[in-house]
Amino acid sequence: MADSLAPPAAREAEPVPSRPFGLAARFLIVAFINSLIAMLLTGLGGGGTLAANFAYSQAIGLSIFALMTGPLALLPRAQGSRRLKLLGLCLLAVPIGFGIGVQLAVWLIGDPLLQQRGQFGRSGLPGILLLTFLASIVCGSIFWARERLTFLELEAARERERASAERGRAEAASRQASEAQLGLLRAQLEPHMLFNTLANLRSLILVNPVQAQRMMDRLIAYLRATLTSSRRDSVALADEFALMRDYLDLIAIRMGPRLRVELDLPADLAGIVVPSFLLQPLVENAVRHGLELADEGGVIAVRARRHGDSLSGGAQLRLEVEDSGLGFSELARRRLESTATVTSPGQGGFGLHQLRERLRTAYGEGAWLTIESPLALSSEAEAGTGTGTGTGTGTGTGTRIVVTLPLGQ
Amino acid sequence: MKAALPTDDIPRPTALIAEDEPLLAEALKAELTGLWPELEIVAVVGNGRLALEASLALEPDVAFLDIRMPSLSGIEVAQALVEDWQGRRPPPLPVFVTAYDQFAVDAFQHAAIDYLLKPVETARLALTVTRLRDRLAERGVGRRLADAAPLDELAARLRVLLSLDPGSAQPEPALRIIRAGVGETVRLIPVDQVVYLQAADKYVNVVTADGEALIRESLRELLPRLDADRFVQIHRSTVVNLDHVRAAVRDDSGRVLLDLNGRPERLLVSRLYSPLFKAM
Repeated sequence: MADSLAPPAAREAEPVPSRPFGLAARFLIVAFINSLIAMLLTGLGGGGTLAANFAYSQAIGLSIFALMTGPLALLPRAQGSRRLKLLGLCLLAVPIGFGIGVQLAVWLIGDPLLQQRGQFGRSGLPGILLLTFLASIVCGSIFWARERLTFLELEAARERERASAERGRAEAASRQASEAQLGLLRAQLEPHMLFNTLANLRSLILVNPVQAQRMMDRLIAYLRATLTSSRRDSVALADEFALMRDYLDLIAIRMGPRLRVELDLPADLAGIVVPSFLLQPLVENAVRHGLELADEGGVIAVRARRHGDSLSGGAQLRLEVEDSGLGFSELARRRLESTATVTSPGQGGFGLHQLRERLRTAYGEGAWLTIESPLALSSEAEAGTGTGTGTGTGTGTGTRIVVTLPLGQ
Repeated sequence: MKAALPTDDIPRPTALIAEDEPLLAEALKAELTGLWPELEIVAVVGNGRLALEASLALEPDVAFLDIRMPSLSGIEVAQALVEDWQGRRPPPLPVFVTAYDQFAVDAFQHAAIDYLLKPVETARLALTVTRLRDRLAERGVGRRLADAAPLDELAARLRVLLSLDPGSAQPEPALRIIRAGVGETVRLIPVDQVVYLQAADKYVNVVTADGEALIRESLRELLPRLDADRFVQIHRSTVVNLDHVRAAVRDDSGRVLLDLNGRPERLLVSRLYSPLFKAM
């Protein structure tokens, strides 16, 4: 039961990483090799007792071990040049360690040089030194190899983690993208808008067939453009403005004289490519929360502007959607109130949050969205409670949302 | 000949249409005229506030109320009508009109309140007309002096409707302190000390035992952030803290009034919320 609760990843057998030899283990290995050498020398009949050979061997070997332990830890584990460095280290440490070891052995077992000389026997000093040197290289290599193995295993584990995190991020990004697309499509074909438009169309057919036909044409153009852009990531600014023109024409038929529309796209900006559906959520919010529920209706203005110096590479595109409607606090109020009329869950908060996410995905820190609301406070409200209560609510009107994008050279 | 024409002694039924989209208002009026020739459309208005005013002034038999309208939603208009109705005739029978709204449709069915979906089909509207005629006949269009029954019945149906309101999607963090600007200073009022909140135009008046302060918030915005066990709505413009209520008193005309601790005034409980104060 408890097992089934564990995430599948946790049950997969993770390879247990090898651990490098600890200091005690290394000490024992060195002591063991020293003993082997002592037995070898005794067996070869180089002279001296096993005990004497043992003492010398241990004293020399452990001295070299002591000298090499510190520097060995400093050897770079990731680089190929380490063999040479290990060799150099041995060349340096072996003669010094040898000297110290001999002195130590003499001090310990108290013998004389004569016996010492005898001990070196047939192979003589160079032979012993060479043996010591080889033994040091072998030990150093074993320790170092073990450490490198651990290092590589850790590295591989880290790499696996990185890869799976990368995969997770990629999955999240693609999920976010499809959610955004679905959400956008849903917002485009928002049922209130659609059914109200159809209701108007139905009412026009009898009384004004010509206007009904015009409205139908706008609706068809809007639906076609919506379905086309939903399959594209980016779109020319002129197309996005055309889509908004169709949308606002439909709204204008519904709202009658309560809605005034201003669209302003300078000719030199018409060809600029922007993420699709950039303006749509902003315009829809302005209509749905700002203007539709305002007694007197109002104005919606959509503008594109170039900002900054293109020579310095800092040129920006500013897209503004401004309405003279209810303003943001009133908007929040209406949203709470209209829980009885909000259609699908999550729809209310969809627009701005999604737009910010999409801007971040497309431009990183290079693009941002600002909200100014309310643009004006009614004078009565100012007189009523004086300056800011810090609650940030008001009876002001109007909202301006500005999207700033970097303009390429 | 004589039978075909309505005479002055038999008053024609009257209706109000509240719809903010002019084409839809016109279309509904035209279709109603076709389906129910004797119905007199006494007003066509474009927002909730005008709908309330016109209904109170003209006392129509039927009110077609769009749900999404400026200033007051259709449901708020019906709510306000129940609270403010002083007419000698029964309140209008509401018919809600909505474009797309699954929650509301379920709620209307549950509360047995009639509704229409936009675009309104002629056959569906004809059904509504038949129902309305039957209900008006039951009431007797003959303008008898009203008893409270139709008003209580409408209140009961609206109570069902309001109780089904799912509220805001995300529960909001509870408010502990209300910050009220008084001149240049900001008063911090612990929510516990609030006796009641009264909506006043675009403000809310926060009333404590030792004073009052206006804040620029709406009751609708505040309510979800208050403890629902203590702060209850008793009128569309009043929310009271039950901890500070001493007693509920019924006066001669059947209205429920609340006596408060620390405040001399009495608060009126609207017909919509009075069942809250029945004895256990």
